[in-house]
Amino acid sequence: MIPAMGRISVLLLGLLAVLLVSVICATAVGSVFIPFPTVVAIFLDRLPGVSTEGWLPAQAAIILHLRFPRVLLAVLVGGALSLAGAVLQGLFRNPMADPGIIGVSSGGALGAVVAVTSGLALEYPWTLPLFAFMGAGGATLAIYRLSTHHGRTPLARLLLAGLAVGAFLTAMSSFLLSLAQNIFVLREMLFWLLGGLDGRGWRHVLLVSGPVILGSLALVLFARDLNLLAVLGEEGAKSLGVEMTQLKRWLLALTALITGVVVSVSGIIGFVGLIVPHAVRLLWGPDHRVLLPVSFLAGAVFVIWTDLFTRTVLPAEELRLGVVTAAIGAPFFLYLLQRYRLRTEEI
Amino acid sequence: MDPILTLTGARKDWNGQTVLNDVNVTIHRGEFVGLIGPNGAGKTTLLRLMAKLLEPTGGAIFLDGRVLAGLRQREVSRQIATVPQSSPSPDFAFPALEVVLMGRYPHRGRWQKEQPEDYAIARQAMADTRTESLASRPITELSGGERQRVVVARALAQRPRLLLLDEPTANLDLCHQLQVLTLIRNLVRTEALAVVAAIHDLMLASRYCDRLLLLKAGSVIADDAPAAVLTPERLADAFGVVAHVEADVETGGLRITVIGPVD
Repeated sequence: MIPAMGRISVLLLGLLAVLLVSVICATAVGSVFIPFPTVVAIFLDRLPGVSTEGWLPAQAAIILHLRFPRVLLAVLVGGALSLAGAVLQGLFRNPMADPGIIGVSSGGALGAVVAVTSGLALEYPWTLPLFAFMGAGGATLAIYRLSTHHGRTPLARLLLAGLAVGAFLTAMSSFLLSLAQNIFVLREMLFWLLGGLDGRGWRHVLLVSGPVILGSLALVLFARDLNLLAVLGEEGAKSLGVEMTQLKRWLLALTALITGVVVSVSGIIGFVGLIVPHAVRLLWGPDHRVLLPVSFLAGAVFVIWTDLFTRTVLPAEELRLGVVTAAIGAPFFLYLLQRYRLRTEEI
Repeated sequence: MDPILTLTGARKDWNGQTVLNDVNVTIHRGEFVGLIGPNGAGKTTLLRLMAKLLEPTGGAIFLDGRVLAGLRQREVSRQIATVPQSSPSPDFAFPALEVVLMGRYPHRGRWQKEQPEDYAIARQAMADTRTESLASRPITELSGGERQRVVVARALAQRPRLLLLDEPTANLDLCHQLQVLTLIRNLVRTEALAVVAAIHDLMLASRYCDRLLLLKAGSVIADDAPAAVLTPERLADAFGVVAHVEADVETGGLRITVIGPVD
């Protein structure tokens, strides 16, 4: 692990570089292409004491007010969902867990819908992430209680309990939205149930960046405990001195926090938390000290490019981000289910 | 002899049923204690009480004279290591060395990474259990027996004073059964380690253990040297079998021949 610690620094720096390049690319590309040097010049101009030229005010407006906040949200949403997936998989000792699949995101969306349809979110914007956090927290707790007995979470039980909880919460969201008598009701439903980043701006970034960054940093601190839990199970981890009750409480609360908060601005974006941690494990192994931070960065990069794809591939009709992640993720999920079944009979 | 763990009148109820009743036992340094008895007699429950994985319903357990229930799990884990009956097959492909290193967890602060010393201790534990060659293999790809030896290595890396084993030889082939039990007995002799092991095979138990606890329906019905515990009368009472028992000069244990069930 001593050489590995050096390796993880290099890995994280490399991924940060990839993330930076991705941010610049995604900011440059759109209905109006703005050359990369111009993008960089516009960013540099914002630094204190630096002044650059060679760009138009209109270009600066597109970049700074439209594209950049959206790309930043992609970073937060992708990072949070991937990290949440990685943590849930370790916590449930179950490689198929994902906040979208097991209903955590549906709880977050219901909370957000309550905040929006009650009008509270208009008056007090912070109620939006708060309610979403509470919804996600309630859903997480319900799924945990329903699927875990004596510290074990059989795969089928987790998926079925998650499916039922998610379906119920989604139905509640749709119900509330139809009551609202809003002429945009179908659009609203589409937004929450098949999430996306369209029309999101700085105020959304400000609303979610604090909880997501703090919650994610806190989760990374539990990496070693998650290693013990994933390999040795609840009783094994406890016999090595892990305070299980406390650990579970923190992991469930923090996962609900970051998931709920991002769902409150993006709606439900499924499968990111499944695809990204699996890819990371395949490439760099299962150690949560590597897996958690790397999943955050890789998830950010993944959602930046997926979102860029949705807004460029069909320029007239914007594709939903949630549609694209599901189109990639659902077949991947089935593939994993197949492979998982070959190894264990406990399904 | 130095006592490490003392149970006084320990009882455990589970769903309204008493699974362990009035257990009075003291475990000493440098002692290999075997836990025997028919299925469902309460061997696993007793081991879990000793490891503070379960709290007793009644009575008390003392670790070095301090009430076990009042200690933090981490403190307990520095003194007591547990090898569970069968580790559920993991889905997370950690290399065996990493799994063994997990034994160092209770000795490290939350923010402290493993020191060279921890690696040395883990490597030593792997050498002792003959698992060095598995160090970089993913735990998911090991056979049941190999995985069991890695789990024993993980427990040894904890450098406990008391080692609790639940059927440590159940998944092992004959040769590895002897190797693991011999290793544990050597640690008992050289490091004054205290060991409590649930062992199904009575002949192995008589051969390696200094003392046997015989459990029947949640009660300790005998606590003595193997030859004093494994008498035909006791075997008939606890296991319901008619058996011959004779000393085995070659192994130093007992040779038990089961004739058949008691009528």
